[in-house]
Amino acid sequence: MNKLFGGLVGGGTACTVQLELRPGSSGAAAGRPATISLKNKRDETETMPLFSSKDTIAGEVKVTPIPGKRADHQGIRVQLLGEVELASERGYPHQFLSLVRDLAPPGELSTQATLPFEFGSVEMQYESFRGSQAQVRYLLRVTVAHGMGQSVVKDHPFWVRNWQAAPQVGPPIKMEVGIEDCLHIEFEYDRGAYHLGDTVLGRIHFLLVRIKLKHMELEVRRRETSGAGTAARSESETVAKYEIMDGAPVRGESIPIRLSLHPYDLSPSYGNVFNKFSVRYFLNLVLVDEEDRRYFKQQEVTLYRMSPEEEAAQPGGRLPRRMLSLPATPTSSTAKGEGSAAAAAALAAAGVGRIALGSNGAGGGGGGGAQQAAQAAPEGGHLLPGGGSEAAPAAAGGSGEAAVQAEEQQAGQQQAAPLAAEAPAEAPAASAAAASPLGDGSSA
Amino acid sequence: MEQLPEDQRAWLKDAQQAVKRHGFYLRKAIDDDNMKEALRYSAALLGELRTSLLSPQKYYELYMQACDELRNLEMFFRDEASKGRSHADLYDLVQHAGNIVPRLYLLCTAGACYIRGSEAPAKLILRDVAEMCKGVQHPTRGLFLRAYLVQCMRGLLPDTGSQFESEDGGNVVDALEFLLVNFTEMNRLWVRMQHQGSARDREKRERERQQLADLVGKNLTYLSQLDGLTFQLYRDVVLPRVLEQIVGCRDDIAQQYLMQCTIMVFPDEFHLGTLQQLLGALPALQPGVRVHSVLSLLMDRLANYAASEKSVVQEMSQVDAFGQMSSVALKVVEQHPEMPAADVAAMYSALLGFSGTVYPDKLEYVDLVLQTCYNALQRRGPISEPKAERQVVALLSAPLEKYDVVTVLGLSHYPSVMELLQPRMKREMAIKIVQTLLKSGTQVSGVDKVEMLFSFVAPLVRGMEGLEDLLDEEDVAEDSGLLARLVHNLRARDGDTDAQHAMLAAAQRHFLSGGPQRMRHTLPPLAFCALETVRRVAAAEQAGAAPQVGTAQWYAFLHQTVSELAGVPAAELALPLFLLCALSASEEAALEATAYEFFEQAFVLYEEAIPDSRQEVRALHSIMGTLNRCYIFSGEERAALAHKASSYCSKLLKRTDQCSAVLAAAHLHWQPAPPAAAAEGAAAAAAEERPPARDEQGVMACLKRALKLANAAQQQLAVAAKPRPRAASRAAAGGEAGGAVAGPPMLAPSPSSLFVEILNHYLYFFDHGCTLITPAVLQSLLELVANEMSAEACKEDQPLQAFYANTLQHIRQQKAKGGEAGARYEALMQAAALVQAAQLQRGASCRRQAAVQRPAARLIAAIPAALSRPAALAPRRRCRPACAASAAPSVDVESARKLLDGAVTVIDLRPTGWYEESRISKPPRKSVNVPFAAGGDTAGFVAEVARAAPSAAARLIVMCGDGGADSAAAADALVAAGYSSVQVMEGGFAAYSAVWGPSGKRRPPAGRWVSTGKEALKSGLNVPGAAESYTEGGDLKSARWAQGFSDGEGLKL
Repeated sequence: MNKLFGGLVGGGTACTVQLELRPGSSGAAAGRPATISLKNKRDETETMPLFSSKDTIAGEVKVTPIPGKRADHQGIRVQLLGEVELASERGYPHQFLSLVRDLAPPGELSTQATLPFEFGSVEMQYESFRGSQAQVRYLLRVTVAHGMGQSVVKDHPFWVRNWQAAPQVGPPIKMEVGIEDCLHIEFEYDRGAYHLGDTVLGRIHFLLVRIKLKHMELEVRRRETSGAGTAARSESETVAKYEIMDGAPVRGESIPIRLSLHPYDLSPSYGNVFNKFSVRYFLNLVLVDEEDRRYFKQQEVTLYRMSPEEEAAQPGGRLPRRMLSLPATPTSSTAKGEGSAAAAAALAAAGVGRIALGSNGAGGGGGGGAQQAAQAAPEGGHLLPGGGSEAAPAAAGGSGEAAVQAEEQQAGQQQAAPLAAEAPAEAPAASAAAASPLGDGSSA
Repeated sequence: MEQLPEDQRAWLKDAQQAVKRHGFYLRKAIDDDNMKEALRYSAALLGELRTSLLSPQKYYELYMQACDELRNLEMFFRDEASKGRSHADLYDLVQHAGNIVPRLYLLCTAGACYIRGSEAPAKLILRDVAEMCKGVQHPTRGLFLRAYLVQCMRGLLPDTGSQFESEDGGNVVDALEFLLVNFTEMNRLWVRMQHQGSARDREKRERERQQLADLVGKNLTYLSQLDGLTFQLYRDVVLPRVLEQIVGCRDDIAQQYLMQCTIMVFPDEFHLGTLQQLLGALPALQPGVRVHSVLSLLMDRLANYAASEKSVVQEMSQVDAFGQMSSVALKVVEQHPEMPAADVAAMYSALLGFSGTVYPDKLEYVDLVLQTCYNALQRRGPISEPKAERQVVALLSAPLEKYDVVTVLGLSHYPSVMELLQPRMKREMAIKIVQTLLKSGTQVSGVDKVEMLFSFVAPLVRGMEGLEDLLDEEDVAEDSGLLARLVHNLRARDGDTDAQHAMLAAAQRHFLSGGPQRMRHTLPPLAFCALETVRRVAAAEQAGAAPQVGTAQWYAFLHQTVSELAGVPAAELALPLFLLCALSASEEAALEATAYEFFEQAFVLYEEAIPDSRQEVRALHSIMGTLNRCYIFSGEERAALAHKASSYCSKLLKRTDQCSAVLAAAHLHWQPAPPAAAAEGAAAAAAEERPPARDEQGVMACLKRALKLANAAQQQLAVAAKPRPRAASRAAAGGEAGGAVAGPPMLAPSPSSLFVEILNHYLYFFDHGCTLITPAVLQSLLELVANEMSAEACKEDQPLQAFYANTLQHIRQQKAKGGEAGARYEALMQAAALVQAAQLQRGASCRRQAAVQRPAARLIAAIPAALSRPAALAPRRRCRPACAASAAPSVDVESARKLLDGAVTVIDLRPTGWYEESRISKPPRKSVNVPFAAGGDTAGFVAEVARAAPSAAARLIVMCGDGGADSAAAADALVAAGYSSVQVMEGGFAAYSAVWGPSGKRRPPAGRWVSTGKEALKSGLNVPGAAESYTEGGDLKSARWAQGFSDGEGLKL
């Protein structure tokens, strides 16, 4: 029996409220409720009970008056609350779930009262989540009512995780991107959806390299979007950073990607949480050249949580997928990847990819080129030149988020506006909306 | 980016310290069994390897250090596995490292443990790790990472027979695959290095790349060490892949190194089996690759292989190793027209070496090589750079040593290759050819061979254009000496004299074109060679055979040769040769007219061309000796020749020479019996017809003349009072002491020894039965000689005494023999008595000699007049101290200085130049320069002084350079001229200036600091030089002068 102590002394009437949970269905086998250890923002570890949807949450509340004192109350009840709180509206959570059990009618307590409660098969649609923009939390609130605002309220948070069925894996993500006559790569991730303990496998083929690369890394970025329509706000953060290449490759080189997701603090992708926010994940491929310019390309992936049983039943056993890498056969376009303008045009015509020229030095021309290419192959992706500093990608990412809504107009804006990368220091949100030529293919 | 070595060191130091620190924490974490921390610190430690700052060499040091630390981690991993943690987990865990370089190092380490623990099939892990390592594309870091990978996995490959070989774990093919993939990747990285950085640092970068070559080569080494590597696998898998990579990388350094590496590491039999493939790759290499060295390496290996195992040769012939190699060489040359000639030549000499070792009997291969080489080199024009020249010479020399020289020279393309060389190198080559020929003793037979040989050695035979300036006389002599030795190797087969004639004629023709300087050396051996042959011809003719080239022609040939030699001019060589020819003609061929002709030539030479009296004597003796041995002449002819020879005797300059020549001439009148050997030959018949010419009267006349001449010489000696030439008497004693030999002493004998000599000749003729010499005559001669010998001078001459004693001994022996000869000697006085008689007369003889000798005139060396040389050039003159004594008193420098403060004038006698240079300048106007030297113009000097000091009472000090004869003479002259107070400066200016500075102040002792410069310091100014010039009152220049600096130095102010 796990005990959660939460002592609180009310204003005049002093009593202590304790809440003990009985093991729910999830932890039943183990004979105790499952718990989870989390790190909060202050980097402290807290431990919380863990439930999932359709679990029965049962336990008992113990109310102990201060010895020798009588405590009268106007009723004791326990609530199960599910709330969405947005950073922008701190303190005003939106409740999407509220269940109440009255445990005792108004009366007096002279000794400890043990009051069992049970919420049977609670539908907890959303997973607990703590993000920078929004959080989803669940709690059990015990209220010993008193008049005059002197109620004793005690919150017992708990954590909810829901297993999901694996979504459609879909075809591998494959894309050719590049900067005209400078860099031309084709990258490939084996799937579009990964479970949280999964390994991202992939491969990058360098079809043309005319800039001196220093290294290449793969980032996992989380984008939380709150609000809707014009009021939508997005915030991105980089959850994982993983160097996948050191030094400058030559044409025809093929670099393997193998990124284990499980060491990182990830959540599944949430499409829509109570109409308040969404969480999406992106794999961001970043190439850094010798002058610290960053060229990047984001690609959305769906993350989902797989039930432990399923995970254990994955094929491969001792040699899981993380052992393997994608076969080194480049796609058909390698043959054409001669790097000439002709090849680029051919690619554009084939609709395989879109090539946007955009290095720091040639912003204006790059815009034009990008637009041209965009018209030829609107479905394709292009590689983004980014800023020189560490702060820049986040800024660019953030600005990109804002630009999602205006996807259609972007090509038009692009040719007028200087590229964000040109002045990475002044990249922040104000100028970024128009500046970044973020053409995230998958979001189109 | 130019990186300074200091920076490099500093960076390396920093990095190493960091590695050390992290290594420490790593070990601590391992001790604590804390996997997480261990991984964290090992990643941090390996993070130091991400640096781009270090040069490969420094990076290597860092790498080694990191590897050491990693070993701890590896042990830890193993321990962990034994504690139950699965290798798969570890393998996964290490991949969480965010940075790729540390991650991959860890992956390699964990992978190695994985395989070692046999948890996973080796092949899978190997493939995976090798693939993941692609992530490091930086050349240096990538190379080292992969080097680490190979090093880790080396013992874990699923090689045949290894514990890791299994169904899942793969077999040797997988091991090969792993190494090949790694090799390919490493090579690509390595090649890529050259494109990094600016073109300016190219050289440095290439140096660095060379340092990294071993990392790449290691893969090949490990490949070759696989137990499962069969020939099949090598041929079908390994070699094609390796070659593909090598050829494909298009990089000079890599291709060069890797080709050599491939050839070195894999076994010979593999090479032999895959020769075609291997060679096929060579022409495809970059132009900058020194293909020849690769090819040479291969050929050397195969040659050694063939040498060690005979059966291989067969195999080589089967695969036509030579043909393949030569065609490859051809291709290489064609494809790289700009390849330097030296490389071409080096490659072909390697090919020659190969064919020489493997196919020692196939000469056509050599020719083929030479032909292709010629074709290749020809396009490059004449070879002029020294390296190429050396290579070509080596190329040409190689076959000379392996094969028969003549055969090699006969190859059709040998001369054409040689033609490419510069004259200088051609000469060297020719020398080499001749030397080889001489060393091997190969006989050259046949005219065509001779012609060919001479075409090769032409640079030795005659002067080449552009070569004359380079050769001095000695070189020419050396060359000709070689040729001379060569002549004796020209030998017709089976003693065919006709062929021999043709060959010698050919040689003669060549030699004649060589000019006098060479002919002097080359013709004599030719003549001797011909003489040797003519003997055989004559013998053959007498035996009835009739060679096409008869003796007459041979003699004509000889005549021509020797005449040419005489025309060089080299009469001293030609004359004996003529005589030899004459002797040969007379005694071997019995050709009287020919012999006479030769003598005639000899006489002509003697008369016209012998320049030196010494040589004249020698030549005359030769003539007479030879004449005496020629039995072919009829009486008149002989008489004519003998008369001529005798007449020469009297024309000699020295009496002693005349005497010995006349003695020799006596023998012309008494020809000895022909030798037994000659009696068998052609001359035997003639000898029978013509008994040896003997004329006792002639003999006596000659002997008497000799005595007369000896007397005359004796008197001459007395007149000149010449000391006895010791060398002469020694030479006289060196002759056969038995007395019966007519061999004349080579050097002018002393008159006393002449007497003994004459006695010997008398005894000879007496022995041989000359009737005119009676015991009485001998007796008187003996007395005369005894008288001579008892002279004081002769007593001391040990060799002469020995000579004399031996002669007397001979008489005693003859007497003791008894019989007819002994009886004739009986009449002679006892030798002892003779000696006795001689001793009695000794005193008188001594007196006579003493009277003759005059006291030696004392030679007085003329005193060289004082020369007025330019002062600057003249050394400091020193007068002879003996003459320094003078009537005038001398004054030492101390007193002189005091005197100078009063009214005194110093007359400085030194040359003007010296005076200008330095003089007594303080007190001023005290010295006057009147140059004078002892023996000079005294009057002029006095007049000059008078101008400076008109008063005869003026106090004068004369001073020359060193107080020697000049000042003494000058003082005397002045005293004589009436000056009353003249003093001589002791030691002259040298002594004065050693003590007193030019400023009149005493010079400070050398090496002591005399001034503290207080004044300068007190004034608060630190004036440069103030302290230094303190004693000179602030005059820095004179201060420095006073310190004794010489002119050029130290005086700059």
